[in-house]
Amino acid sequence: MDEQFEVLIIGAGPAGISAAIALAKAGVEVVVLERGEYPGAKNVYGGILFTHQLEKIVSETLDEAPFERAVTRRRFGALAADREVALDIKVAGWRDKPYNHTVTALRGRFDRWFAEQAEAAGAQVFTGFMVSDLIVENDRVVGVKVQPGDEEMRAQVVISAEGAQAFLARKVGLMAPHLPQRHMITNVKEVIGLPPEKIEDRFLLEGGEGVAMEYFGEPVKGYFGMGFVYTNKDSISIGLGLTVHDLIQSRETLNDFLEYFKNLPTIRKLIEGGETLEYAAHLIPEYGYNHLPKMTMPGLMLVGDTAGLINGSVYHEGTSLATGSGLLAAETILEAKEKGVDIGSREALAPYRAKLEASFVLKDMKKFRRMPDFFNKYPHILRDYPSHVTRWLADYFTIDETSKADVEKGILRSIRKDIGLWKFATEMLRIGRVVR
Amino acid sequence: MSGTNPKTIEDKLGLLAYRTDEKSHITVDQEKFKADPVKAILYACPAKVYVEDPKTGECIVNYENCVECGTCHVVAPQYVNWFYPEGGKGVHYKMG
Repeated sequence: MDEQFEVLIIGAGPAGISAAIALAKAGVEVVVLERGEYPGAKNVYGGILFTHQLEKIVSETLDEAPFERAVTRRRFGALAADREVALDIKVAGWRDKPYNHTVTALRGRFDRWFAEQAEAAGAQVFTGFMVSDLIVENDRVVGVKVQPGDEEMRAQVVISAEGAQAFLARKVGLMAPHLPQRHMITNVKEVIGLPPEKIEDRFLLEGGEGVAMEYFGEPVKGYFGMGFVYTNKDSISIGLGLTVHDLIQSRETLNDFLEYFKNLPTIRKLIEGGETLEYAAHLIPEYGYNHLPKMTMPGLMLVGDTAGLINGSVYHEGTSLATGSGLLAAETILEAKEKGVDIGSREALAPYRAKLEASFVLKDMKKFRRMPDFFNKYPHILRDYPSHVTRWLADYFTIDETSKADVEKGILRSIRKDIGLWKFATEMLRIGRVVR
Repeated sequence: MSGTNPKTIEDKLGLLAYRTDEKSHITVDQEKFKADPVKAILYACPAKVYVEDPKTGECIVNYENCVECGTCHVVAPQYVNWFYPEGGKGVHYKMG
């Protein structure tokens, strides 16, 4: 195959397919290579899809997308072994379109549908083809090597939507050769089948409504990470993730963590009686804004997880940044084409980073840029606070003949003993600064 | 109950669909593995791909169990050489 395409995209996940649709709609000749037998076969995430960019890409058919539930309730819990303190937000209006742009979805279903939209727009999606290498000539990426068959395919510009592992981006030096253990979150998850009525009863939902629950502390035994429970139509996604660094320290398996989390007294009843349908594991690159890779080189652009575009913070957004970056990569190429510039040239691709900076993609990541380093520098915050805070509140609401004034004094004494009042105050300020 | 609520990694892997490649997509540098006092890949891999041979001390690689998360090569880049299985091979997630 010595044919040259205009644009070649590696990976049929949300980032690659978003770029493919935008380019194909504008009449660009675009080929997507996906190593899975079908789009989604290799794709794993927690379970929440953020849809505001999809409305720009597939507005005509979005109503037909295989979404599971509209997320009308979000819950952030600090979890200790036998107690929980949570912030629980429920907004009835989120059950109406556009569903607060937050839905649950299963990637095996959604990614397949999304790739079909790319084909309908005129992109060619080839599944079962793994890109094993980039072809670089005179410091420019000019194509890819494909397995099976050891074929070469050439293109004016290659978009790598390869995913979190970013082998190809590392190979050509857009990022360090090894992935950082303190910034790669390793995740494990189960999808557990339950009848819809049971899910709605247990989670206080109307038909079609869903919930996203995230837990700090005990699910990951105080390490840098979190646990989650998301509701699908007739199943629950439950899982957790922690940094590879912390997993090594723990000397436990991810499955040990998951079984422990599933059996905590505050969690157990949510999944009781369900049937496990799937077990999955995946990496999330939480480098943060301060440690992003280089986004382009001549002939190559990075999008989505490959580019480290994850807003960890409290939002846990990945799919919106993936779709957003795919769109901006397409826009960069289309503008160059409009100007008659060689679309893979340094000049053509230069505006991409500025476009990301000007959009929510990097604006949000920049706002939370201190976070990944902060939790790595002060690991005791995620380790100790969920346990302390839940105990202080449990004490506050413990009813016996102790006078309420003495209860308050007791809690102050605990804070002094557990942390120290001065340290507590400075740490609250520090946390405030990180999220501001 | 164990059929519907598997608890062990082995039982959970039994839920997954695979198309196994004839050749392994993973290689391990055995000397460096043996020299590693921690050998974290033995527990960090969520699919128990890596098992220490009690006789030889070598690392047995059950690549056909791999769920393709990539955690192993982040844990031990100095001796785990992991790359994607050939196109169409390996695990097929239905839900993801």
